[in-house]
Amino acid sequence: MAEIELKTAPSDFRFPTTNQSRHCFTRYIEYHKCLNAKDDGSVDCEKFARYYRSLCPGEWVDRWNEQRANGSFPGPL
Amino acid sequence: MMESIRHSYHLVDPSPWPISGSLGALATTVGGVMYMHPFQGGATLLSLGLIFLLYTMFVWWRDVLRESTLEGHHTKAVQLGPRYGSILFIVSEVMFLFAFFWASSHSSLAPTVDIGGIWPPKGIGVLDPREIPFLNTPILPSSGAAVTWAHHAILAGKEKRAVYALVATVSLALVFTGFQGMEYYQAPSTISDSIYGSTFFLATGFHGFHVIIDETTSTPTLITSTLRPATGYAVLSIFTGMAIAEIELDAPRTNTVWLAEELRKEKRSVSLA
Repeated sequence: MAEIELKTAPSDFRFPTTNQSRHCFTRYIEYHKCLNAKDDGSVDCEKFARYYRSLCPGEWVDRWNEQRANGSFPGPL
Repeated sequence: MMESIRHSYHLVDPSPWPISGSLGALATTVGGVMYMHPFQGGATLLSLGLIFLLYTMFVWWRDVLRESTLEGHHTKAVQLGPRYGSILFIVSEVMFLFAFFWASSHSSLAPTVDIGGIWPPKGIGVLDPREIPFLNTPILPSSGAAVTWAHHAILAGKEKRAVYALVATVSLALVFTGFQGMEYYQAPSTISDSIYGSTFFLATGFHGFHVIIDETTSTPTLITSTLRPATGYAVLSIFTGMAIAEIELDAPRTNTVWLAEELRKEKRSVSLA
């Protein structure tokens, strides 16, 4: 029987507080910066995607994706 | 026939000015709201209210002058009232402006994810603190220094020098507000542009409004003392009773607010570089 490994984002010393909103946002930014920097098909960025998906509420990600699509995303991308 | 008084307090006579001032203030606020929203006749009501208010100020203070110069009601005990009033007003203003600095620091020192975690928010143009702000920084404290000069001249009974000093005070304040107006006119953002515009224009706007109030309260004093020296001296002496706290505490305080705002801008431009 294959063991299913359940893991959340590792603790990050930049975000020591209980509130992890900024951690989630930073990981989302890092994922998209990574995608921009790397060639297509690179698997290096996947860890950032796993991190933000386990940290961020789904609605936030949907909203940010929409904002990126229509050019109104406020973050430093 | 006046009865003999055994106390030093001024028991005022009935006067129409409190109610006319209240009506003027009501018309001004309602007219102001109507003017800023799509209502008919807002500008008319606002203008009427302001005219009514200015008229009330003129006639009320005319009466106060008569009560002091001709009737001698402004005893030492009476002078304490406006003095405490000025101090309480200034304390309330310190708290008012402290709240603006808090709002600004709260929003800028740890920007929320909603504005992308960056300051200034994306797409917001920032004024260069080395241009007009740097030029205005020596001008406003100079105005504050001149008003302190005026105050000491009044205390020393040097009426003419007090007038010169007040001319310098008002002129410097006018130059300051002129530059501020120019800066607002050319500003790359407005009060409706994100939390940046809201905090910036609320704080600097109220500061500018305050400088304008200082100008408009000093100017009548100045005009009266120049045109009618006898009455003017009374205005100046009321000025000492009522405005010592205002001058001594408020001008340096207003300038401190300005300097703090400048430092904040400076710090921001450093963090951008």
